[in-house]
Formats: sequence, structure tokens, C-alpha cells
Amino acid sequence: MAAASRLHLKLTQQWIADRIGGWTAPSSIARYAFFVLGAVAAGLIAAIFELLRVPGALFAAGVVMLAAAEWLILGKHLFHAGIEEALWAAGSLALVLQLVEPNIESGVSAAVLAAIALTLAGIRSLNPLFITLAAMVASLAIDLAGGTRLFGDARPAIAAAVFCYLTGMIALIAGRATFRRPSYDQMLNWLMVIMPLCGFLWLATQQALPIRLFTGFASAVFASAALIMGLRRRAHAPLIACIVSLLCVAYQLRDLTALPLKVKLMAWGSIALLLSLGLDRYLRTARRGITSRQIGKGSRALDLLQWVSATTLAPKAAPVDAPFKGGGGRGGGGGADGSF
Amino acid sequence: MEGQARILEGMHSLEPECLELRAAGVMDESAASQAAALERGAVFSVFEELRFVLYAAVASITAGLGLLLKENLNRIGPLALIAALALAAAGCYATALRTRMLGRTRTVGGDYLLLLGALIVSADLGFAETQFHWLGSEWQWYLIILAAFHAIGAYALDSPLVLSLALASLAAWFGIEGRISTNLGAHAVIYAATLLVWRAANKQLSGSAQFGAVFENFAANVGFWGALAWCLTPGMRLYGIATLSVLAAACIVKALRSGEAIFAVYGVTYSALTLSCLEAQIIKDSLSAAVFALMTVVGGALLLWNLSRRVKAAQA
Repeated sequence: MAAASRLHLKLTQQWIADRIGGWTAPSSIARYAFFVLGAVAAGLIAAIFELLRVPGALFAAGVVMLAAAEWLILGKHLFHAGIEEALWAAGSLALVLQLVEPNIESGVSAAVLAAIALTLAGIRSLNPLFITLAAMVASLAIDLAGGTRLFGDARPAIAAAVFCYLTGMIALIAGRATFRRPSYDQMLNWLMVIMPLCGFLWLATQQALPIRLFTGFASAVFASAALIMGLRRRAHAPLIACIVSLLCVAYQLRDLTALPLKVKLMAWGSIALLLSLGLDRYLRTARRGITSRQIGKGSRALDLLQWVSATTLAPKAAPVDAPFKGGGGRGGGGGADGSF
Repeated sequence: MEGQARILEGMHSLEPECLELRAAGVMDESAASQAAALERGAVFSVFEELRFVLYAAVASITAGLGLLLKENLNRIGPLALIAALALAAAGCYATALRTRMLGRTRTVGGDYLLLLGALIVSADLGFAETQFHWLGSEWQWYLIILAAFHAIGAYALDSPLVLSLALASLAAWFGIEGRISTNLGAHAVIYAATLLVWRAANKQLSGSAQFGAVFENFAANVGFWGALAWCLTPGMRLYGIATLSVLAAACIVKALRSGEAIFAVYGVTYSALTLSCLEAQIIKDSLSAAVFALMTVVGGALLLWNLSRRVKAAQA
């Protein structure tokens, strides 16, 4: 199925059909839609049990969701279809919520149980998102175990941040191993991209110099390691992890000069733009197999994301001191109003 | 090819499968060779990474520029600032024009440089309007002027990214925001219809096939937002349901004909979620509303599953 997905082959082709044993998976775009529908269905199942005032409503709802997910996996042979993944995660979280409901204030046990539930959901459905969420919730549990309150506590979450950076580094190193299942590679990919960012975010609001030096240094080390490994392995995830970590480093260097924010934004943007243009030009001819050219058809989903992202940059604000124009306008004047 | 050493360490490689697929005749020689080279790591494209960094760079410059203009920069003076921005934008457009005149294909870097130029024009024109009030109380026409400018630029330079900006400016003129409001329904539906008319004229305007995809995706999404807004507005619900039905049917037919799964996703997901919201509004009993909404969502999932299989068959 991984070959069919990566090489854009139809599951109905005989060679593929002979090897997938009746398992089936939708396209990635349909998978996202099924995930949304599954999550909404899970919420509605929980609501129905609550409205029926069934004793242990969340437990009952969780069991129903897990049973439905297992039926879809074992009975209908769905794999990475989105809906069974959403039902598995929601079902296991509903069970956890029922377990911790009487004393929800004890955040540590709730976080630990939620991390376990997400890990189980991730392993069962081979879903990298759940595994990454589990690691993030585990870092929250570590923070809460240190005596930090869930909200309004300004103490630095150093242990949680170190855990995140270490998890990211372990994922980066573990990527050297060859796994039989491409899904395991995906789990490591997500962990190596998200966890260092999560570690940085735990301490991003701290202004103390040692902490800023630590996060900046840790992100820089991670970015360097990820760049080297990404190029050696010819893998995208470490390179994306490198870019994300470099953004963290750039943020921590914000006080390097006394320049105003607008100048810094334009300067950093211009540097990144010039470097990218240079790299694009340099790699137009492949260097040791690395090229900036698009190979194959590319992904329609990424193209769509690119078009939508471009519109988010478009200025939408009305001229600052323009008179207010009511919504709907007049005489074909459109609907732009003073809120833009 | 079998004798070549793998460059990669780690990462599951599908190179043996590529060779088997070629031997079985499922893939042709060149496609199998390219796929095997990719799996082996002999060829590696950083196209997507570059696209990500270029987007972040353009976003950073645009944000900085926005702050710069917000503070008016009285020291420099508006005329000097407007001229400097126009010059910067002209520089960005010049590289794209040069590539076009030389008959070369623009690279991903060139695409984003052109996008930056177009964004600078947008900011410059908006700033000029705030300073000189050329359009007076009819200031919102600057959005149409901007949309027209970007549309001309998009067609002249064959850029879907700049076309997206033109559509964003047009959406702003129609008063379409990222939230549901009372007026959104009518504005969104008229906007979507405008895009479909434009899409119909696309070939006559020598627009590329990618432009068609931009129009279709924007029209579908904004049209469904309009239907959702109407469905959530008492007194307009019938219009909302009618629009939803027409759009859903059109998207599903489009998906089945073209084999593009995303239109099946639009048609079913938007419909199921909109109907669930509608049921929650009109059914007074919460339990009944939740049961109906669950049935709608499950029905939507089943329909989408069925359509996904048929769309795959259509692709084959």
C-alpha cells in the first residue's frame, strides 16, 4: 500500500491487489475529510450518551467508539482511512476522561493517562499525529509533576523542554534504522519536526538570558544535526526540522540588534529570500543528486495549500482613515466595509 | 540499476518494489527508473523545502512592510515611500518579465519573487489611497483596481500565485471575510458565480489549466461558505439548502467526471457538516438533534467512501 501511495498507483491494479490482502485506503485528501467526519461523529456519540444520562456515559461512549473503530479495521479492512483513526483516538481519550473525571484537578495522572491513550491509538492505527501528540502530552505531564500549575504559572518548564528536545534528537538518530513499515518512519519524521519546536515553545516566553541561550543553542545544535542527517539520508523530514529549528534560533536572536521589529522582519526575510534564490539557482543543475527542480507531478494538495497561503498574505485592511462603508456597498460597490 | 549501491542510510526504501513493478509491466521503464532513483536517493528534490522557506521569507518581508506603512514614516514622506516601493515591485516584476521574454520556465524562486512584487504593489496602492484619498468615499474600488492589476499580471506572466492574490482582492471587495456573518451568504454565492463565469472565459483569456483549478477550488469553497451562512441565518435557510444541494451535486459530478477526489470531499463534507449545524438549530430536542446529526455524518461518510471508490475507478 505504501508503494501504491508513493508511486501513485491504483490499488485495483492486479500486482498491487495481490499484495494488499483486501486492505483498502482512500486518497490523502479523503483521509483528512474522513478524519474530520470521524471526530465529529465521536463528539456526537459522546453527546448522545451524556444526554441519555447513562451512568459512566463517557466510558460507554468510548467503548462504542473503539468497537466501531475495530469493526472498521478488522471487518472492513480500512487502513489510514481517517475515520477509524479518529474513532480510536476519541474512544481511548473518552475512557481516560471517565477515569480521571472525579478528580480532574490532579493533572499529572490525567496527562499520563492521555499520553498512554494517544500512544495506544497511534500504535494501533499507525498514526504519527497521535504519537506526536502523546509525546507532547507526556512533556505536559513532566511539567505538572514538577509542581507547576496548568494555568497562570510563570515558572520555566525546563524539564519538559529538555524532554522534548531529547525526544526530537532520539527520533532523528533512530531514523538511521531501517524499519519494515514506512509508517514507523513517518512517526519518527513527525517527532523530529514537532518535538524540538515544542521544546522551544515551552520556554519561548522566558526572558532570562541563560534560558534564551539554552533554547537558542539547543535549536541551533538540532538544526545542524538535522541538516547533516537530512542531506546524508536524502530525507525531507530532517530538512524541515532544520528549517523549523532555524526559525526558533532567529526568534531568539531578536535582541541581537536594537533595530525596530519591522526592519528585523524585512532583514531576516530578505536574507532568507536571497539564500533561497541562490540555492534554487545553484541546485537547478543537480549536485550529487540534489536538485531544486520538482520531480514528477507534485502534489495537488500542496499546490492548493500554496494558493490559499498566498491569499493570506494579501492585504485585507481598509485604508486606515477611510470613511466607514456599510457592508454590501451600493451601486455595485461591493461588500467591503470598514472592518477591512 | 540493480547493481547500484543505495545512497540512503535508514528509511524504508521501495526500490525492490519499483523493480518488481517494472518487471510485472505495471510501470514503464522510465517511470520505474525515476522512482527507483528517488527511492535509492540518487535523485533528491528540495523543491518543497525551498517553497516553504520562500513562503516564510515573503511572509516576513510583507509583515515588516505592513508595519512600516502602518507607522506612515513621516520622516521619509509618503511620496518617497510610495516611489521606493514601486521601484522594489518593478524589480521583482522585471525578473519575471525577463524570464518570460527569454522563453524560459520560471523557477520556484522566480514564482515567489513575483509574488513578493505583487504583494508590494498591493501594499503600495493601499498606502497611496490612505495618503491621497484618490477614490474618496468610494475607496473600496481600490480593491477592484488591485484585482484587475493582479489578474492582468497573472495572465501575462502565467502565475497561479498572483491569480490567487487577484481573487483575494476580489473577495475583499465582495466583503468576504474569514468568519460567518449575515451578509456573507449572498456575497459569497455571487462571488463564487463570478469565479465560475471567469473560469468559463479562462480559455479565451489564454489561461493555463492550473488557473482553472484555482478558480474551481476557490469557487467551491467560498460557495459552500455562502450556503453555510444562509443555512445558519433564519429566513434564508431555504436558499441555503437549495444552494448547498446545487453545489454538492455539481462538485460530485465534477469529481466523478474528472477523477479529482477533492471535489467529492467538498461536496460531501461541507454538506454533512452544514446539515448537522442546521439540524442542531431547528430541532428543539437536543437528543434528537444529536441523533439526527450523527446519522447525517455517518451517511456523509458512507457516501464519501462510495464516491472515493468511484473516483478512483474514474482515474483508472
